[in-house]
Amino acid sequence: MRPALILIRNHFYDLQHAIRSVKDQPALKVLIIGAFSIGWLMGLTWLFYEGFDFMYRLGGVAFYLIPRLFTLFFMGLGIMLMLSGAVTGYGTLYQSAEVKRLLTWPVPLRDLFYYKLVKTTLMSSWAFFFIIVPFIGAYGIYRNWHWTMVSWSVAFSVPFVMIFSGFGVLVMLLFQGLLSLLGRLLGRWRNRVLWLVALLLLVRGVFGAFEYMDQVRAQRNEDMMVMFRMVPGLGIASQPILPNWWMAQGVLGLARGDWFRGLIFLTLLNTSVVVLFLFVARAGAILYPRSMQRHLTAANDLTDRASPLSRFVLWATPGRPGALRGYFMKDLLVFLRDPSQWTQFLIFFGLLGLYFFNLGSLGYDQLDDTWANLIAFLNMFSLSAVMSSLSSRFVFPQMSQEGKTLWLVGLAPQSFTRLMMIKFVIAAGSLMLISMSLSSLSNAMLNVPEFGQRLTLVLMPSVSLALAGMATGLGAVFMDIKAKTPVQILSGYGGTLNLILPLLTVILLVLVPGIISHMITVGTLPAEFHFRMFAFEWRLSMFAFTSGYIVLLSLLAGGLPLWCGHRALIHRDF
Amino acid sequence: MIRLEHLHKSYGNLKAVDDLCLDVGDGELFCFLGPNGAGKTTSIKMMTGLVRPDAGQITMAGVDALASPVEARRRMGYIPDMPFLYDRLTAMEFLYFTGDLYQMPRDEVREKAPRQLEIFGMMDRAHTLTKDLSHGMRQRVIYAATLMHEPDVLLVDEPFIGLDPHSIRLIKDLLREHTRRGMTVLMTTHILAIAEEIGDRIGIIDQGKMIVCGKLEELHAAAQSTGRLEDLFLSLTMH
Repeated sequence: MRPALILIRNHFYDLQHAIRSVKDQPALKVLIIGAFSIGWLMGLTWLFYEGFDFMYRLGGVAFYLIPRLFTLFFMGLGIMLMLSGAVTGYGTLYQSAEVKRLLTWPVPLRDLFYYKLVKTTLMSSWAFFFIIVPFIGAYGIYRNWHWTMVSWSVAFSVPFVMIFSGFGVLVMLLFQGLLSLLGRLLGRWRNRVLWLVALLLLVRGVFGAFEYMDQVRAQRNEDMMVMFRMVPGLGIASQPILPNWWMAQGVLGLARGDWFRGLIFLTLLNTSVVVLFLFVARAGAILYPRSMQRHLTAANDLTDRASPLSRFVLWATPGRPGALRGYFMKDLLVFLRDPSQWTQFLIFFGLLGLYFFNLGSLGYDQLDDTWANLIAFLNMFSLSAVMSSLSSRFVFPQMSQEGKTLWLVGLAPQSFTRLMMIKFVIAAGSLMLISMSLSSLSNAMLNVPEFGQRLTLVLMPSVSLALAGMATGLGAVFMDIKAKTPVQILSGYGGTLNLILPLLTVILLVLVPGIISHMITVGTLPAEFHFRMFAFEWRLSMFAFTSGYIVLLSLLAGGLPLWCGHRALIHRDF
Repeated sequence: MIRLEHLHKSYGNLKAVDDLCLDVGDGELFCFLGPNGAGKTTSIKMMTGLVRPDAGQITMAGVDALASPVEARRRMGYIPDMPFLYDRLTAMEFLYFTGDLYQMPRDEVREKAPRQLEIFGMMDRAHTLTKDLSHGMRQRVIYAATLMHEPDVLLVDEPFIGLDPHSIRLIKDLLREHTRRGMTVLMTTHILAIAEEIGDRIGIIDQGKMIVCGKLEELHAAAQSTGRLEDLFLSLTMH
């Protein structure tokens, strides 16, 4: 049997064991994760169902909009899958410890690549079924599809996710190949040239975005643009050459009973997967050995100067000597040098930023106050939800990861509680910077009423503090210094709790002020209450009331876990 | 100096350390020997503050380590046998980070960090990520970082594992040099020849108790042996 097949078989054995080990996990943990998964699927299905219901109530336009919405939805998923494939592929192909171990075994590099390709595809795409299934399911329920349609949807989804994920791996491979080539041609100048090109592209991108906005604004009164403004990106997404269009057309064709059309698109998706993977495998066989060699030998490149990044960070962290500066410097360098970390931040916050930036060009700033306010709070909820998941992924494991350096960190002249508070300050500061920038951009683009604008200034810093406090505090309570990877730290009971609690907090923190702000905007709630109590005339500002609610709840949500963390850490100190 | 007074530590029914008393003076290099599971690591963990003793007193560099652990840590350094480093920091950045943890002014770190790396022959790797360094090189970085804040007391756990002869010589010379300048060093090792060569005094612990402690000649006199330290060690710890 080929080594690649042996490795793939071994991986499936590993998966089997992982599935079987569920019965050995604490019942509460399994129950919480199970309930959360089912709740997620049902909640998302309900949301999509309500969305379809809303569209069909618009009348005939829905019949025109729905197929395009399908196309756009799958295009969005496709882009995310591609990015996920590229990031996961880089991690599994170049960075994993497993690769370095396998390289010492008699496994040809080509087989190693095939195995890692399969693994990457599985790892980068499984979670997307949790979005695809509710979307198609909700539409199926709404349109009274036969239950067998669900299985057809799965049959379409498998080649669909493989195409985009495989394409992501291909792009990443080509980029690595390019880096190797440039390394040979330019030597030590390669990184400087790349930085310069990236800077030029960024400047061009910003100018391009403004040009695009001007173009769209100029076309605002033309009827033909109305649809494109309502469903942004439709023009690109509806290209018949794209797999997302095949997927949408195939699923909707089958749903209409047009079997021929449905099966044609299914065949097209499957044959495309085969062709693409043959191409990726060929490209990998050529590019992977060379680029991997570059990764393995890069360590031997001696340099007598610190990198520009290092010099910049050391220069940019002046101030009083102390652990805060040390950790800030260390965490920043580690973060920037780990592509699997910063790319996730860039993708999620970058996509949100791009969407907020485009709100103005899509005419959302012309909406009346009610809609502007509603969309602003929905945006803040999306932003907070992304911050919640990223703080769970990156902030929660930090205390456990520092535990590995107990010989230094544990013996430095500081308490563990101080270490926890430093981690909290760094996390809260970073989240605050991101959340304030993005929410201000969203508000500016939407032209949000003053009440909402003022509330944002209270809400986003509070959400940042609550999420940072919760992730750091729970990370200290469930500190696991034996875990080798962040995944192991996250897979424990604490990790599960840290996934659910922040999400609930975000719902409570954003939903209530959102409802109050909405009611004030539509006029069902006054901005101020006047009442008599104890023979006095009292005045209650709704802004003060809502701000008080936000601050109190965030102090509780962030402070309580920090206090529990402090109590847990006392036992680790002398 | 290091002073341990009647230290006790049990894990369930197991007495890991049983009434351990020890005095190591300034400028002394003390070798702490014992078979596997004798209680060496637990003793060091108690001295470093990683494990709290059930009873007893610990004084490190004149500071009560149980009452003022942070102050005690400020005055000591610890080098474990298999330490973890931050993979994505360079050797130089790691020294800067350590300097910050010990509250050293940046100017002082800027001056001392290259000098430390130079001493340990690591200057040409100063800007290499630690994940790309060999085990021996990583150990050198750790020595450079630990000694940068000039601790009064140095605890070293198995310092010679996986090192080449050059590194071993370097570390032996360095420990001697620092003890000459007044630093107190407590070192555990299984390489008895090295303990014999560089230790001012040697202590042998077994089943949580210090069974002998003193200069090599005193140990031989106490055990009525005339051979090598290896023979003495085996005769004392053979059960």
